Amino acid sequence: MRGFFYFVFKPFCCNDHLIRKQHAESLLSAIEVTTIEPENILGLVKKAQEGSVSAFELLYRHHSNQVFLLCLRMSGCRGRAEDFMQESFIKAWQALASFKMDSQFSTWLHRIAVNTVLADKRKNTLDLVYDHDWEREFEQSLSASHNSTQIDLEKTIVQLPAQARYVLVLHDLIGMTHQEIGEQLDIAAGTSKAHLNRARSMMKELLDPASEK
Amino acid sequence: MMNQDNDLLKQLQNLPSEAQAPDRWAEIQQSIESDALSKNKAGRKPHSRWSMAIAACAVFIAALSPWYFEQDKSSVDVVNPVAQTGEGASEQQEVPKAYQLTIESLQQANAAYYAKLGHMVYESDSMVSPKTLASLESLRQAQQQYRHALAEKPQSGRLQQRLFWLYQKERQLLRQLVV
Repeated sequence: MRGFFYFVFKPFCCNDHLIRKQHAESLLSAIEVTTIEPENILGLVKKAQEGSVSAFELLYRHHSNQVFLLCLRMSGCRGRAEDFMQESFIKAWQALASFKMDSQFSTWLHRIAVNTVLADKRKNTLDLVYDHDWEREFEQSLSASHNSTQIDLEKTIVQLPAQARYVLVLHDLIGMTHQEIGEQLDIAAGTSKAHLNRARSMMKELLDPASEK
Repeated sequence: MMNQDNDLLKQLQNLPSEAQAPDRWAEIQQSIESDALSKNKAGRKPHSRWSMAIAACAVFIAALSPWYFEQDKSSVDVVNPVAQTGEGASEQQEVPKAYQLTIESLQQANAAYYAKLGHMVYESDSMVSPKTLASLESLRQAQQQYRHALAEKPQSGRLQQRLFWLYQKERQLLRQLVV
């Protein structure tokens, strides 16, 4: 309700940064718990497309946790995921005019985030070292939202080979089709299916090694 | 096997879709604002380039004119101190002096036109054609050459006349653009 109040009464035309900053702290909690209806999201997108940074901020507040988790699953690294999330929103702002409302805004945003992670992967081929420091950091980043079983499952996902991990995340967690994944990862739909089967088999093996033997 | 597949899928589907993200809005906002700023600059680039060039010319002319005329006056005094006493010599000097004053006023008028033109280009969408700018540029180059020549021969009536003519031409052109 507080979030709704904020959404309805905060003027979009308010470009006064000082006022916004003064209100920011008191409204932060309201923003964080904001649940925005889909039609309101489209309204916000329209406002953001017209140049409203305030509207885009609300979109950011609403989607940042999702985008962060997607980036974390794709990259396996908290620090990188934070940077990818930030970059994704900057890219989204720059590309807002190209969003034609023919899909959900979150779907469009997820594509940008996936592209951001993949573009970096193409440039940096360094692999993560899954040591204790990594494990602690990874667990910390999920401790507020996941239980221990879920954290173990997330850890297993990020330890899959890159292509298998991407396909599993995009298919089983984001809900993309093999066709869409193929376009996004620049692979054939059949290859995507093969990666998914491999990813699932590896997951089962990693989660319960005894059952596979 | 099928059960295991279903179990895994169930577990995956039960995973939260969000994780506590750090607040990076300040960084994003900063980037958005700097992006908007650079877009504005890029949008005004051709305008600002013209206006900068025009303003630079105005400043250059305004800065140069007192120096040039001071130098000219002092060089007259130094080179020909006796001339002021003779009648013929004072007649010779009257022509350049008249030109000097006219050129000075033309320079000031042209500087004002340049400033106005720069403002017009900056404020509105009106553009100065490359041909006109080239003409102005060549006029300024010619003026510069004549000023250099005059620094060496300050008493040359012909050079003064040519410089005067160049400033007049420049003024006509600027007047057409501004008025």
